[in-house]
Amino acid sequence: MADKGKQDNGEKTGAEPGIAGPDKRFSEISARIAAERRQAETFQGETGRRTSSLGKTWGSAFRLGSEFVAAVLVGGGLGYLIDRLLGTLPFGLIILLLAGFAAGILNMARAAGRVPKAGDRMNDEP
Amino acid sequence: MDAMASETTSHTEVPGEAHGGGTLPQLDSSTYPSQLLWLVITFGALYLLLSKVLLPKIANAIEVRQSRIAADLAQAEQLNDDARKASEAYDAALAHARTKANSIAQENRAQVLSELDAEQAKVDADLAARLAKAEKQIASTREKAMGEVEGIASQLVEDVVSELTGSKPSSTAIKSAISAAGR
Amino acid sequence: MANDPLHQFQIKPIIDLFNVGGMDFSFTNSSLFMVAAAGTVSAILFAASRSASLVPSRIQSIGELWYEFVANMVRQVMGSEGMKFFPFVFTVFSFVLMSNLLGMFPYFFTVTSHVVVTAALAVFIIAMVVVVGLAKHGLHFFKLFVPSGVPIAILPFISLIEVISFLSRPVSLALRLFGNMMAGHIVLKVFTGFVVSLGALGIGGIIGALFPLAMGVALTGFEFLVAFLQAFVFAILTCVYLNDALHPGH
Repeated sequence: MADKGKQDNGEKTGAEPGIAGPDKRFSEISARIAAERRQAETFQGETGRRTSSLGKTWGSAFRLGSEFVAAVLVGGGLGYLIDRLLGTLPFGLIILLLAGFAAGILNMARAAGRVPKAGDRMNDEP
Repeated sequence: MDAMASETTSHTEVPGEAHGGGTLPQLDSSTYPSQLLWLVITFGALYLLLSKVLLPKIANAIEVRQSRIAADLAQAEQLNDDARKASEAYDAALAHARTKANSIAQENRAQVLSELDAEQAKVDADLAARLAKAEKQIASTREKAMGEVEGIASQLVEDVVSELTGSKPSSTAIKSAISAAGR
Repeated sequence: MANDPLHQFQIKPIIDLFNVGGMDFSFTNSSLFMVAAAGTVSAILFAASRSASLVPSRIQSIGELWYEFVANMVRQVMGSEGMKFFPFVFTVFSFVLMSNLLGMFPYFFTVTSHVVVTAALAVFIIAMVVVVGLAKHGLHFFKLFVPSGVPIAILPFISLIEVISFLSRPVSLALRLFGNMMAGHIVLKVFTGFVVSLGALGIGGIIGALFPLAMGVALTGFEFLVAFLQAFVFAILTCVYLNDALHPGH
């Protein structure tokens, strides 16, 4: 009986490294496959995030001034047009120029991402 | 936008068609029709070419690659799973075979032992029977021999007594005398 | 070239085509560079898509990066629903980008430095926003001008501001691109003009010309950045405005 026990022990210690080796390799391969898949899926998102951050910083820097100027121009132009049509020369121009000024500030606030009111513009990521 | 357009045109009408000098060529409205026409032509042609031909081709190439990557990853996962399963099956089979081998060995040992025991018992019984038979034979032989000894002794006693005394003793007396002496 | 910084914006007919009702539709240097921009974009993308292989070649990588860049921009701003506008946004971005970049070559004409071109693009985009918005949401599209949660007393004024804000979109879109391209080219021309005129003055002038030369080099680099960024901003605002057509204010 003692002889048999010794033989069993010998078999187990001989076999264990052989079993543990492949198991570890399988989980390693699984991890690598998962990593590759994650990489393949996040590739687009990664570029997208960089795109959006680039757009936010540089884009808004270039937008701020022209957004304001454009709104004032449109306000003044509309006011002048209304005055020309109705013959109320200074009033329409003054009122709409002020409204254009307000719209310009609103535009700038939106371009800076402070007022996300009309629509969800560019605020998909908090 | 209308306001914008009217503003620019009203501005350009004042300086007129002056080329060079201080005026902006951008405000020369005589160039607008040509610019607009060619913008529509080139932009429209580019849009049609891109949306109908080139972009679908590029999109297709990207999609083919992505689906290929996905398929390859799925296949790799499948193969890895298969290999893992095969390895597990191998381990299980190995363990099963080992326990089976153990049990067979044990069974064999037990069987051999029991066979040996049976053989031993059989041999023992045989020996015992032979011994008993031999003992019995010895006993009967001895009895027979004792019986003959008794006959010879009584004959001898009768002869000795008749020689010495001249009278024949009774056989019963002889027998009792012998048995008394045998004790 | 003359030293006049505005001379570079001059439009000269190359082929006289036809006059309709006093309007001149000649093929000009501007037309030539529009064709060149569209042609260059087509040529690059054609080369990129010609031998589509699993492992992309260099030109194919460029094409696919370009594609993904715009596709991500559209997806990011409008969601996957907005991908039906992707070819349009891609064309806008590519056309403007290539016009800006071609304009960076000496003696080349910059199509986008003319306000008609940028205004036409901007007006077309806003018209598209209105058409898509009305087609998709009907009169609900005008909720864009009626923010929710505003007291009824000041609502007309807020709506007026929102209308002006909306109308200012094409104006800012057009003016920004046109202004940046024109101003950049004027500044470049002025500085490099200094180099030439100072260099003609002899040794002292040549030493003195080093500063504007360095400025010219730095500005050239900056103008390449601006050329890209303006195309990018133009395209991303196209996306933002089209997104309003898809999802007007709640």
